[in-house]
Amino acid sequence: MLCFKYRIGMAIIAVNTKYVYIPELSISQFLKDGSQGEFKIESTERNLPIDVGNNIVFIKPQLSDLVFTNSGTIQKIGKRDFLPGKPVEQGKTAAYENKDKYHHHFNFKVEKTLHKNNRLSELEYSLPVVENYNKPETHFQSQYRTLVTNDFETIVNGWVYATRTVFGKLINALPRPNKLEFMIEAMDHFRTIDFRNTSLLDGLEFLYHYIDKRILSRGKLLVATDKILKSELSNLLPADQIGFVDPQTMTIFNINDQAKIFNSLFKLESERSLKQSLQDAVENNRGLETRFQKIFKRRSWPVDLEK
Amino acid sequence: MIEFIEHINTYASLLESGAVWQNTTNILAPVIGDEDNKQATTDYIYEFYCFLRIVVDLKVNYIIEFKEGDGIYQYNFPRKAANKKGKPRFHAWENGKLAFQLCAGTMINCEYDREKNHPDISFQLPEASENPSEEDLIIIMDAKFTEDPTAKLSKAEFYKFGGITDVFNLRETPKKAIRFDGFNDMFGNCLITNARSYASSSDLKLSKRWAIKEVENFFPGKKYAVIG
Repeated sequence: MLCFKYRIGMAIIAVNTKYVYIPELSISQFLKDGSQGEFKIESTERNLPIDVGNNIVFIKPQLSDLVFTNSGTIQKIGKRDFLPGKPVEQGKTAAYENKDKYHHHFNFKVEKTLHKNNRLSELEYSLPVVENYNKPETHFQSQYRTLVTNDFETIVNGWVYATRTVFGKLINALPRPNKLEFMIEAMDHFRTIDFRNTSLLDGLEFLYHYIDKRILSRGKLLVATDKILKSELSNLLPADQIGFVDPQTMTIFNINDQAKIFNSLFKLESERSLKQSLQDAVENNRGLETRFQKIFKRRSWPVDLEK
Repeated sequence: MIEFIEHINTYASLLESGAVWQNTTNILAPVIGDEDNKQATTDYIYEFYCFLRIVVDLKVNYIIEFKEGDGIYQYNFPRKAANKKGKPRFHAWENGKLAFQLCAGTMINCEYDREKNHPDISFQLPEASENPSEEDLIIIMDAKFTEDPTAKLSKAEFYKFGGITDVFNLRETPKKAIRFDGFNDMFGNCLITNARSYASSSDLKLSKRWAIKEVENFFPGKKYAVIG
């Protein structure tokens, strides 16, 4: 019985305030540390797996991202209102409004404001609950969901699995044909189809190489071409209007527009290389990478091949 | 110093934008599939880069004029080989007279009907028409890009270019001298690559017989060399 209670006490609830109204969060970015409040969850379930002492994290949508604003605990289970469903009209099938529902009320206390790496876009590759890398927010699009302790720790501390984040962000930045091609080359190179036992670091090296030879080599040419147009030929032609046309589709490919992007990319890389940034992040948090390696053991590479 | 998360987010978002041509849905870098990746392939971005570097070199000894194309081609070059008419090109002038025309990816007719071809870069006589044939050619150049810069041009590429110098009758002394400046060793039919040449500089018999020069390591930041 004690063991049972302990397990319940450890449950962790993520509350999405897009669906669960918390007045303070609609007017400010964070809840105040130590403050108290109340929320209501509507459910057809008579009992919810939320108990006194449970940890909570509050989620607030922001543009297409989600922000984990605060952690807290459930102080008290409040009243439970019964709302009988509307009778089903003749000839119609029962819908949500016809079901009996309950309004569950809870009191909470805010523990901590989460400042560091508090966005889902920053944590998506560090949370095993996220499997949809195209729309990671779908995993939190309900009034509440339960989380395991590891994920709660990750969110509250803003811990990031640096290697997996770089791998995931880079590969999912590629257009689908390039992603598919990379995966086929990787399957061949690592002699696997699921990558469960392939080191993410080795995969990342292979990915850097692919991006370099396939994308950045073209980027370099575009930057060099743009520079020639601007510095050597601008007295002959309008340098930023020069481009290519696909004769079949009549689509225009402007050199200057594309070169601008690669200029920014190469400038960023020359100021500080991404590899260096990753290496520093890993070295400053050796323990974290090991922790995450255990959590993600035998997980496949985080690639979204649908889009 | 830029924070790790901000760094990767910025990098990834630039990569995402760069990998697709702006305002289109076309990807920048074509998927090669499981063909041999070392094979040098036609790459319009590389071809155009080579073309412009040559134009810049010619600016020293000629007055260069940009000839606009028609309509959508006013400032845009066809991504694939196309007919000459209505496409942009450059004209080189000396002493107030047109010395030659410089075209990118233009279709060239020849006496063997099936063998019409479109060299990546063609130097055409001043009087060349909008539908040129091999009679109008001075020299031609092809550009070959490979993702493995340590690879050599393949025998197939070399022989193919040799075939073109033959059907276009370009193996004799060019009909007109082109006065390059820094690129003066590139006066001839050039197979330009960012990688290595097929022929070795110690054995140029075939290169001479077929009037082919190979230009290797032709890439931003690299020093090129002419073999042939």
